[in-house]
Amino acid sequence: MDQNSIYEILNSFSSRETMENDLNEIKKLVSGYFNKKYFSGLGSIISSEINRQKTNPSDDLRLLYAIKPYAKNLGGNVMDNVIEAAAVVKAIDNIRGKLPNETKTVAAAAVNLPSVNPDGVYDIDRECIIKTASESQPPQTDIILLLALTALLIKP
Amino acid sequence: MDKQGRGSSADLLSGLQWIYENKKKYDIRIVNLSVGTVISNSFDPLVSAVETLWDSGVVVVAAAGNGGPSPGSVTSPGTSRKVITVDCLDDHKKCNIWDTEIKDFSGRGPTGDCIIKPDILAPGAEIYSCSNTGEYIPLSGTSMSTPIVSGAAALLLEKYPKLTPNQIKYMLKITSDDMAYPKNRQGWGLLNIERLLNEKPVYI
Repeated sequence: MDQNSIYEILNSFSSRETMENDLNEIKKLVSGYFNKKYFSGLGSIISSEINRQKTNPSDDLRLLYAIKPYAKNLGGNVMDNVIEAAAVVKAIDNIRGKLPNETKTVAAAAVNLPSVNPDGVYDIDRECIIKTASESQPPQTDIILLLALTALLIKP
Repeated sequence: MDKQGRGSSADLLSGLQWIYENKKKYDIRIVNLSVGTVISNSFDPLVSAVETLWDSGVVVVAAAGNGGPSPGSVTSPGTSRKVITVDCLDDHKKCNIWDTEIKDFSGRGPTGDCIIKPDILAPGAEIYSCSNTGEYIPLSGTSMSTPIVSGAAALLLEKYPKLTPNQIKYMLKITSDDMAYPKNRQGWGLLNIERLLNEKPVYI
């Protein structure tokens, strides 16, 4: 691949004004996803793995680091953000591969565990929810809304 | 707390703040709150404070209060959906609470947010406890049930120090004994310490 092709590829990153915002958003979404789904300190594990990827980079990351000095004309933090995004992806791949099967099963099943909610471990009183919803409606109650709410709350 | 065991919400908030600031220094892992009050505002500062502690890694165990048995009679901060709220198993016995003989006194859910409370039951009638005269005397109430659950959580943390508050609460749920009472009377059931400590840790 010649230098012009490399610049073309890199220009496609810099030509998008929101590239930095997109990469930051990806980082936020990934972190947010794990924080939401897992109650443990998986976030700190990911951060450690990301740092490890940067200090002991894979071939893909080494190539990006090698390109970085030639991409100074792009300005901003474009190459840093590209490297950061690649490190995040690699870190998640590595962590997924290291998880023991039992933990993966528990983690995957956690979202379906009764009482386990994103904001804590508790049970909702369904009758109370339905009663509260119906009391907050005007006299001409939206039956369709109530039925939809009930359907959502009733688990198979 | 004064000599009668009463205090203010402001003092409780100060205490919780101190715990938050010193939890690392003194390795505070569990807070037992054998206290409760009625908060009528939609914003409850006590619930906010205990949930902040919970989210920072401290297990909070709170009494459901002795204002039952009407629905919605759980006191704050036991109304927090996050914390572990404890009711008295044996309040069918007539007990002396604040110099009044009462029974069926345990606070009942649901909360104003339609959360089922309590979470768990523990014995609370005629439990030998400390008096303010330096003796041990039998005392009753959800205040006596709460530290039993706190102690169980402490034993579990001793065995598995890396468990988070949510994981501990979940393990209490799956190891408790269903007493077949209504959910807003028993939560998940009666604390079973032996099952709790023999259960494999669940890292949800």
